[in-house]
Amino acid sequence: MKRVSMLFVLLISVFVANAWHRQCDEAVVIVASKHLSHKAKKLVKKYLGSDYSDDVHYLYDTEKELAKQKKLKKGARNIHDLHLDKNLCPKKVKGEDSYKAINNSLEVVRNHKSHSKEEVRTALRVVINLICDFHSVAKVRLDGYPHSYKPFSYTTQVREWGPKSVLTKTHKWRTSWQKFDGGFPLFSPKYWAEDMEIFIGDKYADYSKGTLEDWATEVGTIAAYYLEFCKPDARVPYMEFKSMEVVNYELYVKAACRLAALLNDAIK
Amino acid sequence: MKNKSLFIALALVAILGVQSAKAWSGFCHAGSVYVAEQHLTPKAKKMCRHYLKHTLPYYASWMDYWKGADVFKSVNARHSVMIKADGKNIDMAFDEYGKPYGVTPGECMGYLRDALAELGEGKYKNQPDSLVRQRLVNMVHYVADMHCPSHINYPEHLYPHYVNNRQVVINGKKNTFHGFWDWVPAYGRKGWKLEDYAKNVDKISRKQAAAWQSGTLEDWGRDLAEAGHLGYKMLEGVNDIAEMSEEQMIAARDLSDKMAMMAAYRLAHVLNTIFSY
Repeated sequence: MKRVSMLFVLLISVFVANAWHRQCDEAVVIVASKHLSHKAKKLVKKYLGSDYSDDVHYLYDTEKELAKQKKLKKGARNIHDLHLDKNLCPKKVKGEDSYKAINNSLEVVRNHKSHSKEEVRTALRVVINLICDFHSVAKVRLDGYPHSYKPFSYTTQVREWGPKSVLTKTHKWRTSWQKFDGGFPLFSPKYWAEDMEIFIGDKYADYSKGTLEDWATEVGTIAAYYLEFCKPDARVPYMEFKSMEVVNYELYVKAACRLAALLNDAIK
Repeated sequence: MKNKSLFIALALVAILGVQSAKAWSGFCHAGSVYVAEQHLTPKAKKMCRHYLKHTLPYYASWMDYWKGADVFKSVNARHSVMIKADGKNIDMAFDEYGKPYGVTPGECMGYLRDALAELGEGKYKNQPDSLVRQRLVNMVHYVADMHCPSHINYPEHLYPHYVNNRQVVINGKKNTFHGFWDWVPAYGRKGWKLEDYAKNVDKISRKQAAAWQSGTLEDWGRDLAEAGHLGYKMLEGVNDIAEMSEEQMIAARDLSDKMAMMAAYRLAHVLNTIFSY
């Protein structure tokens, strides 16, 4: 009960990150909903209704509203980060990060019968909202990589060959990850979801295998790889920079499969 | 070690690719390819998705996204077609540098001809998946590119006034003739998604579609030559789009839409033909 109250306090004082593009978040939920068990689908429908596309933006919208009212508390955004230790394992944090918040919310969903409708509803929304943040490389705060804790910029070559190869472009670490999903601004969430389903093919079981802790380590490993050469004012090799978009896409797809897996597991 | 394996995996994935919508505007690449996908036979659609592991529009601008990579230099130099000195027919023998097609990378029509020869009549079944995949990815981009007015080139000595990189100011910012044709498809279409584009622009009759799809690559080339002339004519003397009337802007966008639909139906035809075996 204490955890739930804490969650409410956080939600009132929180927002959701600028995290990933809204339409991609929606696509993740569309894909996940197709992989829900009958029981999970029924419970989600009971608490969120049949169209929960608005719930995907619940935290975003809360944050926007609070910011408008100047009530957004300092540090409230930490809920969207993923804090990992040097061994790439989730570490204890003050308040909640995405790992802790998802775990706490899943606990509420698991014991939905002993919680109020509003509590379960909020918990479902938190899981749905944070699953993408949890899979976002830009949201990883990693021990041993102090630059992962603050915004920084890096540069990369515009081209590897030809006259333009001497030119470089500056990117911000956090926003550059958000920009990758803007590469498909014409894709509606529904079409994004269609594309993701093709990509998943028969890999759903592979992608959804493991625990939240395993996935945190996986995202952390990817973040560590990029943070190795994406440092303040560093020049990032062209191919590594380009590969970020590919990695980002696959993490989206995994987020979708894992959202379904988490809910299926919690609602048995 | 774990990180090293991850790096190798990432590098491979990177080469297998991704894209972002750029160049001839998202609409004329992703939009026309989306329309093409709607007109594929069930078998062709299934086969494309089998090879690509994505929708067709996902790869619409893949070649632009990877343009700067050294590893793709050989296929990515230019994405254009060349018109003969008569100004009416496509030059299928030589590119804009006077070299035979295939020598200079990036000529769309020569690439299409070669890809059809390599994959057509059931030959795709005997090719490695990676080759079929790459051919599809390139065709998806090239068929749209070659229908873009700014990607249609004419012999410079005969058409010295056709300057592709001529400055044209767009919304107060420096741009080019080429940039105008990249920009105009999205004119007045803020917030549109692929579905909106298809719904509003794909109003092509069966008769018209069949006419566009019929004939040889040379016949298709004549349509391109005509569109290229029209494209230059529409912007003749225009240094800033603020000088253009609303009617002129709409006319330019209509030309762009027409060419995008031509590209869409032709791409669908090419893919349906390849996968009819």
